[in-house]
Amino acid sequence: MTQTAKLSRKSFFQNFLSAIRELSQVEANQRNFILLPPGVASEENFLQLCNECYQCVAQCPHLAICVCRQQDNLFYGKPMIVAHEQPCYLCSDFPCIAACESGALQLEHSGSLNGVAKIDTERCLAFNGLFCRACVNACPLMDEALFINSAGLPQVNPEKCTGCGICENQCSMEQPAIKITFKA
Amino acid sequence: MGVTRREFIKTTAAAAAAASIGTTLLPGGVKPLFAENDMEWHKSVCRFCGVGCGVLIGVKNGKVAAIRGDKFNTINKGHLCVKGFYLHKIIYAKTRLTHPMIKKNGKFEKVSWDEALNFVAKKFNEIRKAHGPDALAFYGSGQAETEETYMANKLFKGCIGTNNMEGNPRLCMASAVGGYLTSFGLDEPAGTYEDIEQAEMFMLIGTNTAEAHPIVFERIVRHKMKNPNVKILIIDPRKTPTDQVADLHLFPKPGWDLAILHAMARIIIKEGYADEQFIKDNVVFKDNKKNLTYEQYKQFLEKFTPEYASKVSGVPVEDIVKAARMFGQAKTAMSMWTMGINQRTRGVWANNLITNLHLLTGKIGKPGCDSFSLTGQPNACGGVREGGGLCHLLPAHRVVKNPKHREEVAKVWGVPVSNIQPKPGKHTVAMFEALNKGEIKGIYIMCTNPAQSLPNASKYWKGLKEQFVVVAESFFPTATTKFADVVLPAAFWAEKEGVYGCTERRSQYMPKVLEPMGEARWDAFILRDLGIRMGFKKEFEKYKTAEDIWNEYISLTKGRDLDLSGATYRRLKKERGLRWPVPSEDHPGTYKRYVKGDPIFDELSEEKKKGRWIYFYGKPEGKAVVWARPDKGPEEPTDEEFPFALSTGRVLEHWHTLTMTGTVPELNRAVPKAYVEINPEDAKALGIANKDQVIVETRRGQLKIEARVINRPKKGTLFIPWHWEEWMANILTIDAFDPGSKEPEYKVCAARIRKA
Repeated sequence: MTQTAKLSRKSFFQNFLSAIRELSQVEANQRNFILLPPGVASEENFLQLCNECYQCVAQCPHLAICVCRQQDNLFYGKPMIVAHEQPCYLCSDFPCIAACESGALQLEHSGSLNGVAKIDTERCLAFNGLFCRACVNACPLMDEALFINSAGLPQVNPEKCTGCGICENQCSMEQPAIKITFKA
Repeated sequence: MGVTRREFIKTTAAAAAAASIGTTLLPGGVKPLFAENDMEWHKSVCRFCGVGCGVLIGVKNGKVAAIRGDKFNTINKGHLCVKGFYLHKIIYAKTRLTHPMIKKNGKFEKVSWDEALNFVAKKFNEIRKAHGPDALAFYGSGQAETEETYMANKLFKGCIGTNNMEGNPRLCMASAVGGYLTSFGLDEPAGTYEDIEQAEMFMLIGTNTAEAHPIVFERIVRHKMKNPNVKILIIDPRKTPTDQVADLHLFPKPGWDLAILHAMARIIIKEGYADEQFIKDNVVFKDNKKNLTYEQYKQFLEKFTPEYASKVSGVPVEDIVKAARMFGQAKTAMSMWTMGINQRTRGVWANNLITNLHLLTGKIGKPGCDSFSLTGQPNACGGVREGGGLCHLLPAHRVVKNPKHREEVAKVWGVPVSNIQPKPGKHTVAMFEALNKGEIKGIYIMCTNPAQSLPNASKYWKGLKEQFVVVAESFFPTATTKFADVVLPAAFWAEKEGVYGCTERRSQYMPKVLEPMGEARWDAFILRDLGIRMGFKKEFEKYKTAEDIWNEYISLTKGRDLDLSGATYRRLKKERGLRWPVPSEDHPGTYKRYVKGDPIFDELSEEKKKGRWIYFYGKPEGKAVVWARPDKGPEEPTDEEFPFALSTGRVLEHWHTLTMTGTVPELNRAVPKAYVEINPEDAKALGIANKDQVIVETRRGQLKIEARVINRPKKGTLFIPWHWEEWMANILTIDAFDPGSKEPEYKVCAARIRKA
């Protein structure tokens, strides 16, 4: 955090320009997915605008927003959400967006997050013959975003999924079998 | 934890792989399956709900490392729900109680078994001497093994001489017992799970099958997937995950569904769906006072027009008509229900009205037809209903009122018949009321957690605090152990052998695969040793093994409707359970009661059977009863002051008061805390947002809890899962009970809600 604060405005812009370049070069599915706070127009846009003031981190009532600490990550130092530990509950008044002065988080983009839930069918208990509905029952858009399909198995509707990560958080497996990942 | 993280992932993956590729396993299940990792698999039964799924316990290096579904078990065919899958983790929970403790100066102190049992025996004898046997009581559980309940029954009813011997099935199954007894004359369903795959229509009423009985639900789903014409009707005030398969869902106001069932009966008769021949041969009609004719019954139904039922219940007229036609048109129909029907002040009546539909249409006794009550607990049927673990019962469907029954039981128990009182003891609510009043001065609580599970729970803490309380439990602390004077460590599932009897009359054997943890002992032997120390040496010293107790119990079932004499340990250890009646060791068990193939039906005299393919031998002339019960609403309807109807219920991932599932991190993660479900419209009107803290209040108490704004409960209703001690829903529930079954009305009370 302190490191970024010391950066001059100029070097900051240089940084983000290089970051954009980097982002476009890396194949999306080859890097780790980072779930960002709600209200992000696009990852590129967020990287440009977020000035790492961490007001969103301070304002989140669910303590869901933390700071990316992976040094080699593109989003190093940026606010992020680790859904497995604490997901986004998409508050109706979005205190994180209200606190964001840089414009990195905007109300008009608050409908969904930058990811979508995906089921790892090899490890999901329901796909292994067990009766488990933890993710479906946890989903705030139950039966819409996450539903039980005609085969009796959980399925994600990527059109409806907001990427909030509550399913990932409440998956009963020690390593979640449903995870928020890149939008297709 | 018993297994490392790595091991766990390995074993679960292996179990899942085995389940999907279908590895063969010898019957008996003891043969090592994964030779490379020395896992030994033992056939057993799941510890949780009343479905009775077969499990295989994987033991490695003396520890239980994995659980998998038993492919050879006809109930679940290898499938398990997520609770069962994590069952092995509970054995090694941090909260396991491993030594006896006595509360001295307000603090629990570790003591020896001798000291603990001598202390309890001395106290109980003092109370018995000073205040009579009825100052003592026993409160057991539908999760205890049949052998355990049998020992408690003998100690309290036969030796101490009090009928204050109850169990928590009073809180879940008593109304179903009352329903079956009044409609058919004998307890427990006629059909079995086999009917599921043969049914054309299901009526699921007052049940969230998908969460409370997941494997039964899975069988229904599979059946419907293969046969898309199968129709499913749901009658439930709340939208639940069970709706996944619904063709039609009626949402009655909580507690106002009796009129719908009568209206359905009326439409069925009016539109010619009734089986008039079946009615003529096999049915009589009654109301609360007298016998009726068929004509008089039709007259009674005239009041229940769809319009009237719609007005009372809030369900649209056309839906009621559609539901009745759906039931009438299907060639075969199976109805299933559980707490939504049973936990009501008119629970017995509601049970009767469901059975009425089957009797009027002749949809009973045939494959794919049954009025099938789903049991909540794994051994509520086996141990308590059959074993006689309630205050008015004796083993093997006998009642204390009947002098012949008392004599038969006293003879086998080896006690004077005068010991068994003819008057029923105190039922659950009355028992805890008496504890409050000081009429009962000592209570032995086994394998249950009444301080949290009783309705209007906080009212009954007074008695628990003041009187002498002994709690035998596998886990510590619980809400009840707080009030205990003595806690006794009980062996947990897999640390003891015994029999569980599930919903479909099937008794299944569970082996002991581990030594009990710490100093824990088997409940039945704790009771035996307590009995000996109380001075009943002659009566109790003969029991050396679980098999001794079981053999004595099944000798009492000989010639009864639940004849288990053929279900010996030798056989049960090999087979995946047997469905009674099993009159002899070469009998395969019974798929359907009251018809050909039921040994009791087969043995009826030709004269009785003449022209009859079904004979309800529990009733005079073999005729079942269609009841003309008045319709009545809940004890506490909503009003201006308390405008919401509050229901409590369960979630898939947790079980009862969390003593077990609360110790599994994976299950806690799935549903970490309690919440109150509120309809978005209601929430908006009250300014409540999702995850807000709210206060739910009834005439009995208030609870601060998180709101879950979701389109599941109907407008004007609230729902709280009741598992958590921290957010104890039973502070709010009402302790009014059904006058017939004495089962409290957990499912409906009036409440209000506001933002905290």
